[in-house]
Amino acid sequence: MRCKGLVQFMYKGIVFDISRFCVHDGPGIRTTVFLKGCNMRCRWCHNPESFSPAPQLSFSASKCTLCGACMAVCPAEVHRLSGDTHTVNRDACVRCGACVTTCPQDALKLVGKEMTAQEVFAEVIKDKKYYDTSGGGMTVSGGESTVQYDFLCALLTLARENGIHTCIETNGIVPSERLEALCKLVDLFLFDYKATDEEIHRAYTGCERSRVLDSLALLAEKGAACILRCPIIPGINDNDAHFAAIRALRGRYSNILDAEIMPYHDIGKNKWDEVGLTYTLPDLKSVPPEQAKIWRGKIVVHSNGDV
Amino acid sequence: MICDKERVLDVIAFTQLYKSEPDKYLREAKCLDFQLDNILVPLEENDVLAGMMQHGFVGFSSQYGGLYTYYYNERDFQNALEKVWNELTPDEQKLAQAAGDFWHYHNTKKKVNERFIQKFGFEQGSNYLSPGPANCSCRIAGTNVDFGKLIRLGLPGLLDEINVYRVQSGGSTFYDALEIWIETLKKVCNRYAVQALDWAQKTDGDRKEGFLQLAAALRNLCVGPPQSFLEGLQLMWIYSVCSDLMNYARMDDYLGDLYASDLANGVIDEETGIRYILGLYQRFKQVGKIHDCRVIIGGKGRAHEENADKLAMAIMEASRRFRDTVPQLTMRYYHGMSEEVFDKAMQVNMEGCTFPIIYSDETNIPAVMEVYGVSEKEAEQYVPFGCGEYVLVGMSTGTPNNGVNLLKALECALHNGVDHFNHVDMGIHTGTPQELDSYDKLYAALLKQLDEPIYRLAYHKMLNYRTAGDEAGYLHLSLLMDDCIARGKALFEGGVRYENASSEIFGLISCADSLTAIRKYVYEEKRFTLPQLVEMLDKNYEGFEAERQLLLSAPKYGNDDAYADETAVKLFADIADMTSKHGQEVGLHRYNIVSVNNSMSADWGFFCDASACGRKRSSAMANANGASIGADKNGITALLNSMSKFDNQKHVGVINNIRLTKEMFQSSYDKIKFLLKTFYENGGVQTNLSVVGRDDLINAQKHPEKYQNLLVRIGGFSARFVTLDPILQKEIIERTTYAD
Repeated sequence: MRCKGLVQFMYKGIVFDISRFCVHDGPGIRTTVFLKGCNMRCRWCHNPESFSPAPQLSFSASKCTLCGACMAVCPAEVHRLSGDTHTVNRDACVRCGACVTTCPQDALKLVGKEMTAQEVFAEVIKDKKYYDTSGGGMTVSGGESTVQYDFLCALLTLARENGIHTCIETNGIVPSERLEALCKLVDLFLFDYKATDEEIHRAYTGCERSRVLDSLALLAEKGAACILRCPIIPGINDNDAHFAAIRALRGRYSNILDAEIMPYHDIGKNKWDEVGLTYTLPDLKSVPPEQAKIWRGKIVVHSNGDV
Repeated sequence: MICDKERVLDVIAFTQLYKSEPDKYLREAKCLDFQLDNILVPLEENDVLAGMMQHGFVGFSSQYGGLYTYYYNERDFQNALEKVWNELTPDEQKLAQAAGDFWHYHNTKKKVNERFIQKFGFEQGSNYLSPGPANCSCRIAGTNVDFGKLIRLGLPGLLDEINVYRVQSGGSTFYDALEIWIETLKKVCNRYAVQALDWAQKTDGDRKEGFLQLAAALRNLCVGPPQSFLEGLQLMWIYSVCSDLMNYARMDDYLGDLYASDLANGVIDEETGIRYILGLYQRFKQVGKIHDCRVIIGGKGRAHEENADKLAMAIMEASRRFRDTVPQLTMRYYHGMSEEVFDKAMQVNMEGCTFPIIYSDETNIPAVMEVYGVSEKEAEQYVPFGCGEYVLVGMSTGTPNNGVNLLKALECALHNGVDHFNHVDMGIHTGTPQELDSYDKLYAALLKQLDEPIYRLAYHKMLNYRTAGDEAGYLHLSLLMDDCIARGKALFEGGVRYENASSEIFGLISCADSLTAIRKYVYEEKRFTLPQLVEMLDKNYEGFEAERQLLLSAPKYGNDDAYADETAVKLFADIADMTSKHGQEVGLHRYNIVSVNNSMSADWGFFCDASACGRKRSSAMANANGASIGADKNGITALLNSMSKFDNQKHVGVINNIRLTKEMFQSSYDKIKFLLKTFYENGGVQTNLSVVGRDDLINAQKHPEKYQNLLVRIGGFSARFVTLDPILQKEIIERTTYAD
């Protein structure tokens, strides 16, 4: 690694996972870095622990056996046991991690860790030989990867300087000057497109669709390689107008290399509770594979340009 | 089955024959001839290839259940004698008793033990039930003979070769004995040919045709080299049965030409070829040596690669259909190998066969050159046998007769030389826990606990070879091992080109992870003292669960974590150097460690106290070069990177167990291929792949600690199965079934 820009690489970010051998976040074998903090609040989100930019305590009630070990070591009286319930006062938590290492059931976790770009990259570069042979690289995901903008840039710069292919996952809620700057550091954008109906978009993500489209237009203008990723949530955006819009976007922008359907699954729903949030779609069920297959057929753009 | 009375009478006759011939080589040849007259099992109706044997109570074998050379299965003999006592004449009774008494003192293993006792004053423990970190047994395991030469020359050709050297050298009983041995093999072929003809008369249709072909093949083998694939297979098998060989070298190399020419000439089609191979597999299964039975395909240094690859494809297809624990099909990978062959290997693995095991020539050939001190051409002939020790086909011995338990040595070091589990003072006093006040002192104590025992094992290994050589010419090996015939010297009397041996180490990773945890929490962070830690271990962590959790959270090997991996790599190198040094001292060409997996990591773990890696008393130790159970949590590339860090010039075999889901394998096939190839081309020695399906997921639910790295695909992303909510796990299991 070169020493140039050392100060920049000392930027600290809050990282909640570094996942190696990821095979579905871009081409080849990849390491995905998950950054905390998101500017959307998608109600179907499977990573709600990424909403807050700060480290936080997560507690899985189903794993807890009420042994009280956490209570004994906590310096801030976060844990209370009464009868058969274990309540967690997250506001009082000082994030010391004492309860996490003590819990014999692995029911407590500290989500998010402060790391320098250099430290994160030291993990990423360990698999360089696998990236090189498979055409893979580093993907930065979130949360919304661009929320920790300076940190993200530092990380991408390190990757670039070391010849590692870069992807970021983004929801498109990014100031245009930042997005423009990122185009110089990112080889492939995994760009979320979540809803076509303006109302639905606002109600279920908390953000305006127009900003997403503006970002997409900017990427097109810059010729930045892009894959659309489309979460499809039954009853919310699984309608023909939305599929048609996806096809139209693919037809309009030649920088969109592909579009992927991300069928809804309810794997993350317990995580909301674990970080003290309420899941508002409790009745939604995971989409069966055959349904996902049908949806995939609906976003295919035919080779003759017919959308 | 041969009845007990006959087998007892055989012992009497065998003993008389043995005593009647003073020349070592002729005695062996006559004993083998007699033995094969009596222990071969007749051909049966469903056999495709001829040849099966049942060991006698006394006999000659390279290895037979911990016995070797002139072996004596005392317990079985005495039991049988008691059973048939009344059926014997008074004379027979006397002779049988005398034979038992004779072999009690004259079996080869006994002679090794006596020599060992003479030197050290005691007998070395022979299995994990004996206290301390070291044990050993007697055998000549894993020699991979030059089947290529056998197939090329055939029995008559081998005889011609002997005659050439006999004339040149002025003759010797060694050559005379080899001639008898070849005549014995011909006799066996003839005998089975007669049986095959008998069966041909009693059967119809395809069966009849099969027996006629088999009879013709067996007859042809007496007069010339094999001319067809069937004859080649039959010759290789009959030689293996008569010699009690259990590892079958590079089959695609030595049979590839016959197979390809049969295909080209329309003698057989592929399906017939596979049927013959399955006939051989049936024999493998009857022998049932699941820790041996290696068949090697692929790799550099094959005579005719294209022909060999054709056969390799058929062999893999046979393994796919056979789907059993034998043979331990092993493929050697190299850069630029046939993509079709590699894909077939992937496909067979993907079906959950666990075969072929894949070895990397890119890593291993340069390493073997260095570790054995041989040329590249010689190194190209490396093959793993048994659980994974290397020998050079036709050029080296490499028997792995001993176990070294590194975790047990640490237990002794933490108790000033006492095997705490067994409450036995092993006599090497390296300091009390109070005295071991630095990590370096503890580490030095650990090495000292091993130094003397490893020297004894090396010495035992040398005795194992010397005694075998004093007793016998090992004709069946000498005939097909360089440079015995040319030199006119038997295998262990200067015949074999490289007299190597190996030493199986166990508990490497459990010991290394324990050292790492002690280094971090005792010496660096001073969370507790070493005496306090020893107390926790002695109490099997009872009352110390929080401390155990802390120790479990220490850095662990298998996560590409420099702190933890360095300990393992250094320990590995230090034990390797110590072993090799003691090998040189006792006069072995090479004596090197292997870290391979057999069940001993679990079996011996049962006799070990709790350890500082967080493992409780009597739990299994980490297997071979795999991570401590459940400790590899950083993804498969991290595990592979950790596995790549060991110095490959210091060992002669390691095992890397890798588990992948079937779904992952299928949906990301190309990426898995890249993953493995990258590993093989960057210091990865080999992989044992298991591709898991539904049953594994169910087991993972019950035993999550064993499946930490099991990945499943859920919609748009992958997750570690064990971290999922139980309800979701259930759903995934059901979905997998659906998808299948």
